[in-house]
Amino acid sequence: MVKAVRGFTLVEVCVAVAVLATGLAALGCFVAGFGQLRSIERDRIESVSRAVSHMEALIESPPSCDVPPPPCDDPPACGVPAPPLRQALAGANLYYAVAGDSLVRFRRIVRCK
Amino acid sequence: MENKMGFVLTWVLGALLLLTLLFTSLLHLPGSLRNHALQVADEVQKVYDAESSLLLHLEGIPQALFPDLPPVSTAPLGPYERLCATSGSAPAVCITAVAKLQPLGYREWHTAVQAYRESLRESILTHPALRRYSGNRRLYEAPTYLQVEDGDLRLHLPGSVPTLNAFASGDVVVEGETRYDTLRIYALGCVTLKGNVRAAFLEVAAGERVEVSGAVRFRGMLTARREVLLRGRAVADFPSVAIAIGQNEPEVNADAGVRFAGLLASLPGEVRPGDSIMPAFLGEGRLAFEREVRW
Repeated sequence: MVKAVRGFTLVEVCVAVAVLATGLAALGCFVAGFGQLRSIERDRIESVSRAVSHMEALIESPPSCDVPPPPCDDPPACGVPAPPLRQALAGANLYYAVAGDSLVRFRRIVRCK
Repeated sequence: MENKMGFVLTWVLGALLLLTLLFTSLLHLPGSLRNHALQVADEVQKVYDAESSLLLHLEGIPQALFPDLPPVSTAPLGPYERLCATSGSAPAVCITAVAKLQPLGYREWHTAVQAYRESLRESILTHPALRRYSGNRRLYEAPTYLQVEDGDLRLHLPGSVPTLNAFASGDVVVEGETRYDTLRIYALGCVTLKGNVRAAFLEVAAGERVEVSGAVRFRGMLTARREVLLRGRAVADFPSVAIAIGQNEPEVNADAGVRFAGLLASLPGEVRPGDSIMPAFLGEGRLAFEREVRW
């Protein structure tokens, strides 16, 4: 005598497929958001690193007290010394240096040559 | 008969829930890293603010002109000065400084060095942890603060010693292969450092004579009323100071094999033009030689 084996009902299969499709769609959205966040994060970290490097370069090789800083291709990241502190404080030979971009911006007083 | 097929839907839903939770937690990872990057940027800016404060202080610009920057505190540290800038939970940026060389008269030198020597003596003798000994002493282990009355002191300590402050009414001899982090000695007689002694921070004030010989290496200040003598292969790291100041032609002498980075001065003689530093308690203009960030 052959034993009868019950399979899934049509309703069960439909519900399972519907739930699975919804879950996959949600996962797709998550993956897309994941990539977007990772991109933002990478930009932010690179921005911090770039700004720190530029500020350290300004500290290591200070700008001239008399000559304005040369123009550069990417002005926000060039660390333009502004405003010149030495104008307000005569003889101090100090600049108020700014380095960074729209995401991260550092400021520090540096000596000028 | 028991029907098990109806549990499949529950299993599928459970698995989806777990996957959703997993991806949600993964989504938090990049966000938290970005926040961490912003936090690092904030801390870097605080360090820059502190460094700006110190720079303004070194240039003599009043702090009141920059109320947003953290205040600078100063404290004497032997022949040096310790300047720290910090505010709240921000990391403290500290620098150690000496004074820039400037012409001073004998009376100014004498007054400042005498005040320094008196300050060193007071700081040792008035410390609550001071232990007193009488008569000649040869110590192989020593307390942090000690006083020897009516006798000489000979230190031959093993290994490394974090801090030792000693006062002796006679002579003091420091020998062996000891590595001191801080060594401060005030003696009414002579002070001798020999052997392979190392001192990262050294202060010696002798009533008569200071002699450094052998392979002693240190950074700090030596003062004597009669003579400071550097012999052998002694090394004084920058910025060290050796000053002989007294009534009867005080002398500072160094052998050819000695390496001394700093100021050698015997008063009332001339300070050599090549020397560019002075102890911090002697002048106003500051010259930073060491920097430290404390989190």
